[in-house]
Amino acid sequence: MSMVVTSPDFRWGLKFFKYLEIAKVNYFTNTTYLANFLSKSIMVVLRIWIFTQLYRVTYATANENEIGGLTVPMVIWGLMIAQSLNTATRPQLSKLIDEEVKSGVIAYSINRPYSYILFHYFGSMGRFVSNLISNLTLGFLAAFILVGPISLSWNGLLLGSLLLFFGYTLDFLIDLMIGLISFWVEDISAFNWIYSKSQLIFGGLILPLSLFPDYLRNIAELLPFSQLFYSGSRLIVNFDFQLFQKYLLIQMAWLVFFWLLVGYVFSKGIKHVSVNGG
Amino acid sequence: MEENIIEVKNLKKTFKIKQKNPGFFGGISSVFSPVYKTVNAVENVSFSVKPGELLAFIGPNGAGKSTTIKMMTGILYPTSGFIQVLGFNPSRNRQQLAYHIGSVFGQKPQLWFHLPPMNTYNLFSRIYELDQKKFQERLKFLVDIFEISDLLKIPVRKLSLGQRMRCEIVASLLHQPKIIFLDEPTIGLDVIAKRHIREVIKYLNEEEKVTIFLTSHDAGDIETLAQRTIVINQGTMVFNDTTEKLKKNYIKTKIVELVLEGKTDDFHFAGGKIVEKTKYDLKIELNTEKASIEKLLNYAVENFDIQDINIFDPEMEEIIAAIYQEQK
Repeated sequence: MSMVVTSPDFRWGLKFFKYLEIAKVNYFTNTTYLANFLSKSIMVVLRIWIFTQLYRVTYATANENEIGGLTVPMVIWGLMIAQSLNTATRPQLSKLIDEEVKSGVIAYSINRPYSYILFHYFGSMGRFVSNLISNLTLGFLAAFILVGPISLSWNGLLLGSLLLFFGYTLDFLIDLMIGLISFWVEDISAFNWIYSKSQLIFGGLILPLSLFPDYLRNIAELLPFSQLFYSGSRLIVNFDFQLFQKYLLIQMAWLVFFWLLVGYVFSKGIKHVSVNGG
Repeated sequence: MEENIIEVKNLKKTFKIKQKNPGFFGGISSVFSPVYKTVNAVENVSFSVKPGELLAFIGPNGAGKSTTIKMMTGILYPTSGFIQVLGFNPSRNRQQLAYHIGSVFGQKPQLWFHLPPMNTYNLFSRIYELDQKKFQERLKFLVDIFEISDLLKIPVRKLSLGQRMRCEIVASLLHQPKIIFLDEPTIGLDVIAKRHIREVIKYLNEEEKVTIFLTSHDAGDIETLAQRTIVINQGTMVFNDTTEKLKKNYIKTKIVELVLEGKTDDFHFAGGKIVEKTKYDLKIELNTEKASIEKLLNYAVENFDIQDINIFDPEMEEIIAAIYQEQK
C-alpha cells in the first residue's frame, strides 16, 4: 500500500503545503542562534548611523535641503529599507548551493519530489522573512531616533512593497544563477564578489540613484542591480507613479530574462552535476 | 516470471577531472591551458534486480559503487547505457521516481543539522505528500523498530554517529519506498550500532518485502544480509552471484587479534597463520574451512591470559584479488 496521496484535486493543495513547510523549516533553522541572527540587524543599524552622519554633512556642505527630490530623512529611510532587505538575503543562496555541491549534499537536495528551483525559492523566502522581521524592527527604530518620521503615502507603501517583492525574486534568480555556475566551476566566489559589489555601486545601497548625475542615473536605472531593493524603497519614501511604471517595466524585463536564463542553465547544469566524495 | 524492478545494461560513466600542478605558476597555467584527465568511473556494467531482493553491491573505495547508485536514483546522468528503475528512466523522470525510492548516503547528512529529527520528518511528510494520519502511524512504527523515541526532539548536531545514522535511515523510509538504496549505511559505526542497523535492514526486507540495494566495503554487511552480491572494481563488474558462493569461494579467512597478558613468543596454533606480532599483541589469519574461531579461542584461553579479542573480516581488496586469481 502506498502512503502517497494520489487524488489529483488534493495533490495541488499538498504541493503548496510542501513548499510552505520548506519555508517554515528554513525560517526556524535560521533563528537557531540568536546572536548570529541579530548580528545582521545590528550591522544595519550601524550602517544607518554612519549614513546619517555622512548625508547630514553632504547636504550641509551643498547647502541644500533636497537633492534629486529627496531630503536627508528620506535618504536615510530609503537606505534603511534597502539595507534591511539586502542584508536579509544573507547567507547568499549561491554560497549555499556551492557548499551543497562541494559537500556532496546535493545528492539529496536534487533527488526529492519537488522542483529544485522552487525548493530554493521557498527556502530562501523562509530565511529572508526571519531576517527581515528583525532587520526592519531595529532599522525602523534606528531611523526614527536618528532622523525622525517621514510622511508616507498608501500608494507608495503598497506599490513600493510590490516592487520590493519582485526585487527579492530578481535577486533570488541572479543569486541562483551564480549558484548554478558551481555545477561547472570549482569556485564561484569571484562571481559572488562581482555581484555584491555591483549591488553596492548601482543598487542604491550606499548612494541613492536620485543623487547620481542624470546620465549615470539613467544607465543605473536600466541595470538589474537598481531593481532589486532600490526602486521599491525609493518609491516608498517618495512616491511617483511615472517612476513606478518605469521601474515595473524594467523589473519585469529582467525577471523574464533571468527566469529564462535560470531555466536554461539548470537544464544544462543538471546533466553536468558531479557529486564530490563518492 | 517476475519482472525485474531494476534493469541496468552497458552502463558507463566517465568524469573529466581537471589536473593542477602545485604552486602559484601551476595554478596560473591550469587557468590558461587546462589539462583534463578522463576517469572511467563505471564501465559496461549490466545487471538486474528482482522485487524483494536484498542485493549487495560491493567493492573497494573508488570502485564506482556510489556513482552507479547515483545514476540509478537520477542524480547523475550516465555517459551511455540503459537504466530502468520501477519502469522509470531515472535521469528523465527523477521527480516521479523519487516518490517510490528512498536513499541513504552514509557520509552525507539529509537531516537538518540544527533542528531535531522530528522537524525533518514533518518536512519530508509534506515533500512526499503523505496522508498525515498514515504518516503518524508509519513514523510510530519506524521509531519503535529503530529505537529512536528519545532522539526525536534532540538537535541532530548533538546526536552520536550511530544515533544519527538510525535517524537518517528513518527519514528515507517515511514514504514507504519500494526500493531503498543504502550507500555505506554502516560506515564509521561501532559493532553494536552496525548490528542494530543490519537487523532492521533485514527486517524491512523480510517483513515489508522492500527491495534493498546495499553498497558497502564491509564484508560483514554482505555476509549477514545479502542474498546476492555484485562485486565491482575499477568500474567493472567482477562477480555477480549468490552471497553463499562468494563466501564459500572467496571469504575463507578471518583475522583474529589477541592481546595477551604474557608474551606472545609461545603462541603456536596449527590452524592459523600469524600475520602480525608485537610483544603482547598477535594477529592470526584463520582459514575458516580448516579451523574454527572457537578452536583458536579455546587454545588461547587454555594457555594464555587474554586481555582483549577482536575479529575482523578480510579486506575487500583481498576478496577482489582472490576473485581475479580464480578468473585467471
